[in-house]
Amino acid sequence: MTDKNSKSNENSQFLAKDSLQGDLMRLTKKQLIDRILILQNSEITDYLEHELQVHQVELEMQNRELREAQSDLEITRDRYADLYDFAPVGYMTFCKKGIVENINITGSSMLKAQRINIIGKPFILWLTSSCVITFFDHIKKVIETDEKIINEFKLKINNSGCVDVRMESVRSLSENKKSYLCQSVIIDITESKRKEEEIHLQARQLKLITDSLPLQVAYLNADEEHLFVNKKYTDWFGVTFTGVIGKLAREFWSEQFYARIKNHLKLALMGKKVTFEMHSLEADSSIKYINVIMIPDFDINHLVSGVIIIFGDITDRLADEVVDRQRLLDAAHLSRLNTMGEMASEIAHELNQPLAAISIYSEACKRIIQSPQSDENLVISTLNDISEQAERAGQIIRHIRSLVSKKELMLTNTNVNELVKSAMKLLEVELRSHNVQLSLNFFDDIPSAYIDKILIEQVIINLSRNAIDAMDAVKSTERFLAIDISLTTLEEFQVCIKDTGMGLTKNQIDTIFQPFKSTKVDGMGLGLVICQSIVDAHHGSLWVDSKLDKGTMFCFKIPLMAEGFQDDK
Amino acid sequence: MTNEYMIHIVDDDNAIRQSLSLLMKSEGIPVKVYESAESFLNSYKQNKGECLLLDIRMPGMSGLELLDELRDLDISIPVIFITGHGDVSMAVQAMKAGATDFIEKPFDSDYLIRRTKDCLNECICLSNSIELKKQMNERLSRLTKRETQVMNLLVDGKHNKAIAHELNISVRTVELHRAKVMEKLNAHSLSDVVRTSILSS
Repeated sequence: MTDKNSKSNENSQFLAKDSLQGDLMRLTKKQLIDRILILQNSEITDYLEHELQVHQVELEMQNRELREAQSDLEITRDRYADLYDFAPVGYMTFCKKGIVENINITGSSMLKAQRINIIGKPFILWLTSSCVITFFDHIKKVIETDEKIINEFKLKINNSGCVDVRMESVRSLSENKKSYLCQSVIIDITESKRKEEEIHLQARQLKLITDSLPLQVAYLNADEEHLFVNKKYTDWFGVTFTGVIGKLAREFWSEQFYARIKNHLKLALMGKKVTFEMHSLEADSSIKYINVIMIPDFDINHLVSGVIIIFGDITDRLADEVVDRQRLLDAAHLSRLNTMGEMASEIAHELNQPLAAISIYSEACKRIIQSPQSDENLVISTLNDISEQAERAGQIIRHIRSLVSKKELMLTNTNVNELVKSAMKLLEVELRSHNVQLSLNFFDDIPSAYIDKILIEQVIINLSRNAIDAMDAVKSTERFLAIDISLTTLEEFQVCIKDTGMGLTKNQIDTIFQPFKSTKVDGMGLGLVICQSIVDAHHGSLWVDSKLDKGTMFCFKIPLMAEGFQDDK
Repeated sequence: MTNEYMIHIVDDDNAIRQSLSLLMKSEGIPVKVYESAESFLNSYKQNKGECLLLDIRMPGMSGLELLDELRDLDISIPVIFITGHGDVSMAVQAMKAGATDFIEKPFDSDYLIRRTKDCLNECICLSNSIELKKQMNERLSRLTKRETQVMNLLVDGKHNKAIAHELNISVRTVELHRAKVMEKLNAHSLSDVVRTSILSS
């Protein structure tokens, strides 16, 4: 009655079922015989028939129940077999000698071999040689300790290289319950290991690159914790890489250092790129000037996940700048002396005006006093005129002295209108002797500019004298010098100096800002170069525009408040 | 003097105009001031006796250009130029162009007043200038040939060094000749030498 088909070669349940049914049969037969012995023959036949029928029904019922139970069991068994075979991880069972006792489908596909070609084989066939000892240790520990043991192995797979696996094992009892087996879960970690190695490689490369930079680089997360630093950074602070990773900025940096940076850092953590310069006191009590750049790092949700901080030592660069500036100041001073030398005769004339007036006033005064109708009020007003002229002479001298004096760069709030007026005062005689008509176009209520007024006045004087000279070749009634002062933006002023001279050729325009190129017979060709350097030092620009036979215009524009100048001192 | 006489002062420097005007008024001479050659030309009216004190360097029309313009317009007003110190070449140019005299800033007021008054009175001016010429010529005749050479070069506006080079003598010798010239001409400055040289011719 048992359905002995198919699947059953390995299963003991079916055998058990057979023996159970056999027992029932035996039991039923015995009961029948007992009852038969009690009954009469005719009765016996009827009774037996009836009993047999009852038994037949009972047996059929039992049989049905048994079949149902068997079917349930088969379903369950199949399910567990599927679970075992199709689990996403490999299952393997080893005996203590490392022979494969069992393996599921995932496991065998991992080894790229048929199950029958694996079971019964020693596992070391698939192990790279460096892993063999670890494997036997693994099995030994599992079987001896009843603990979960985890190791990683590198497997060699036919025709397709190596696979990294993690093996997590516990022990289990063998079927005959006489020995322990090693029951293992095998997980392919090749991909994650590759990724991990890639990340390691990238991190190594990043470190290599950042270490070779002449800058101190650190990455802080949003909690201001150090996540990465380069070698320059660790050297600077005198720590090791591991000694700084994970440390909070406010704990790692000195109190003053953190105090100087924290507000900028806050801004950067709010998502703003920050650049600033600061100075820091070094361990050897020297002062370093540092340029700091903070770049916020945004995650995929556009939130700031950290900040890259780059420190650059700009002490040397600043020192160079100071030297460069000193050179410019020296050159500008020499050029001014040269200009003053050239203008000596004009300056003498300029000074002569008030002196002549003083001498005439004094003579007139003398005569007024000596005359019979001496007018005291006229004498007093004349004396006032005299002192006014003396003051005028004094002003000229002070002005000249300030121009020939050599001094440090001195930025002051300056009214550009007044500066142009003062330069023109000095050029008055020169303008007159060259018969040049001057027109000045001021910008009313011009905001003050933060500039070195002597240097900028020098530029105005230089450009104006060039313009005056450029007009020598045209008729004296056609010599016009115009100076226009304007604001190009709210933060920048412009001065244009326009002449009605012969103009410049294209070639002259191209070379005009080169040193030692002069259009003048006795010119050194340095005036314009110095003008340009002065304007550059004020973060401005100087350019020329010229039309042949129409005239030339030199313009310069300079920020009212040049950036960078404020912090230099 | 009556208002038939008039001094015209043309100078772009206000202080010079004011002070000269005051000086002339203190001498009782009527004065008109102009800040440019153009404004003088625009408002000029002839007087019986007059003199023009003219700044040689001015923006716009210069003193020399005004002088030319006056000659073109046939206006024969005596002109005394006001020149800057050391402006010898311009002074020479002015004298050759027909100026009555020139005077260097800062100037000797007495001399200026004297020369101005001369101009106002043509008779005096004329006789004076004949007298002056005679006196000058007499002085010039005292110079040696070499001294005359040196003087002519000085009047041309040459410096000692250039003169030495031209005459092939040492600078020191030029200086000695120059001192001799000054002494013989009774000159106190180079402009006196220039004046003597030009007025005599």
